[in-house]
Amino acid sequence: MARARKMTRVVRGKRPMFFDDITEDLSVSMIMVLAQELSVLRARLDAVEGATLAKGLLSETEIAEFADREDTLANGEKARQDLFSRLFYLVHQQAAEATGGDTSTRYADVIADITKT
Amino acid sequence: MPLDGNNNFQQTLHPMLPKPSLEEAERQSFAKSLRGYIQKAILPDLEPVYQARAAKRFEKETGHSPRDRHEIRKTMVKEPYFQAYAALNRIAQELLWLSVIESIDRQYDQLSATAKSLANKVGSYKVDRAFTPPNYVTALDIHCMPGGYAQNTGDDIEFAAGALYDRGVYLYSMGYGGPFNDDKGRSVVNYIKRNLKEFAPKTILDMGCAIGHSTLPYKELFPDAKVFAIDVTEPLVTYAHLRAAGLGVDITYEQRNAEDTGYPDASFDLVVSHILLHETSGKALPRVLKECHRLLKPGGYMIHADLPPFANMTEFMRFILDNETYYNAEPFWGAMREMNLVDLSAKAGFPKDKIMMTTAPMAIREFAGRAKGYDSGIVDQLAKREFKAGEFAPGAGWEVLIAQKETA
Repeated sequence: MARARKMTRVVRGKRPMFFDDITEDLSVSMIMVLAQELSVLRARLDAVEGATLAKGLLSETEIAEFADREDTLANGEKARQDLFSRLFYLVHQQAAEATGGDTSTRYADVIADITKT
Repeated sequence: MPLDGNNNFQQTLHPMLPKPSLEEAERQSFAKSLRGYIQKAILPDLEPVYQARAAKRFEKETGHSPRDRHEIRKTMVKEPYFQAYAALNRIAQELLWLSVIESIDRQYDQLSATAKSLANKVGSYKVDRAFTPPNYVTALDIHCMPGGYAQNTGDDIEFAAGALYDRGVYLYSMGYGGPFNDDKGRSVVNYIKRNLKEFAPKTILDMGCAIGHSTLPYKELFPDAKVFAIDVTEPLVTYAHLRAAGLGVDITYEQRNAEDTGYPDASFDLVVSHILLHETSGKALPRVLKECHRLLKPGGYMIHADLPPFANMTEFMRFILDNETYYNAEPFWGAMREMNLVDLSAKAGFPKDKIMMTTAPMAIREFAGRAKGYDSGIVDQLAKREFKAGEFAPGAGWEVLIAQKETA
């Protein structure tokens, strides 16, 4: 059964859309939620594995406590930043192309050049 | 790309702070870390991309390069790299609030019971259900916090929006404000202690106190002073009181409007605010300054810590900072930075030679070793780091407007 919701999830103030097609905005928001859940899964697994290695079979409370340890938290932060690096590979590709002048015209020029006989 | 300054700073718990479960904590950390990643690894390439592509496209279309931040926005909104940046920034903000809302809803009854046990235990609070908060606070849900500052959950003791703000703002500021998120108040108090050595206020008013993050350091560092703090919504004032009561700090919190507080003339030695002015309006801000002048005793000080003005910034920096106006429901964010606060303070009655804008150095170093994650090496790295415009960071310090009322 769904928990009672006391608080609203809706923001007042028309939400801006950023991409040329609204479905892209919707897709990216969903992808980010999935990425967040992947991160949750990783955190859970880290906690279980860490706790198992350190102590053997454990209670729910002991696992949660292990997740809250300073070294676990530090590993978690590194893992998240690494995940973002992989997640946004295409965003970084865009910056490199824009600043490096790597355009589709150049690509076509290369083909034209290479295939010249 | 080196990702310096990563941190796993942890907020210090107090009785009213919602305690996240393992899963909730990770969703919250995800939103906090995502903000950090966007600012450190995506934001820095915006200007090179602008120079290399968007500015040139604009010039081609119009015959001239973008002349101000509005023209920069016109061309940047078509730029895919900017679209990705702005969309991710917005989504990070949305995920941040949602991850805290889930956590509050799950433990709502327990928090409600704690609220009942803490009410009026230490200090006091006064709210008035007939009071109407000003339109500039309720027209939009400022910084996209669902329900805004005035959300009513129908409780006898209306705390929920305050709890959301307490946890949400800690995540938004990525822990830079310290384990109690009180860096702004601490920075201003430090500034007073170092630069106004003879000044020992006995009565202090914190305007737009929200949930009292910045209020508590005044009581800590001026223990003999009577400290009042006001804000315009019931949940903020209520939660501020409950939080202070839980931490055992004696503050008087009241639901009042900083434009017209209702306190008698010359009631306070010191009137302060922290990130209040940019959440007011073009009409309200001058009225707040006038009210400060009225409330101060002769020789008393007014100090407002807020966003640095647009003057002395490049157009591109202005454009970046102004994103909050359009994409984060901060309607006064950009316009406030164009106002001349020194002139407005003079118009409010302060002597011209007693008004200045300066910097109150950040107190981040004081947090080293004080709470989980606040490792001295990481704190030191953060204190030394150069921040880019658009990053959440106090940089060298907080921008403060200081004015002294004429002596009798």
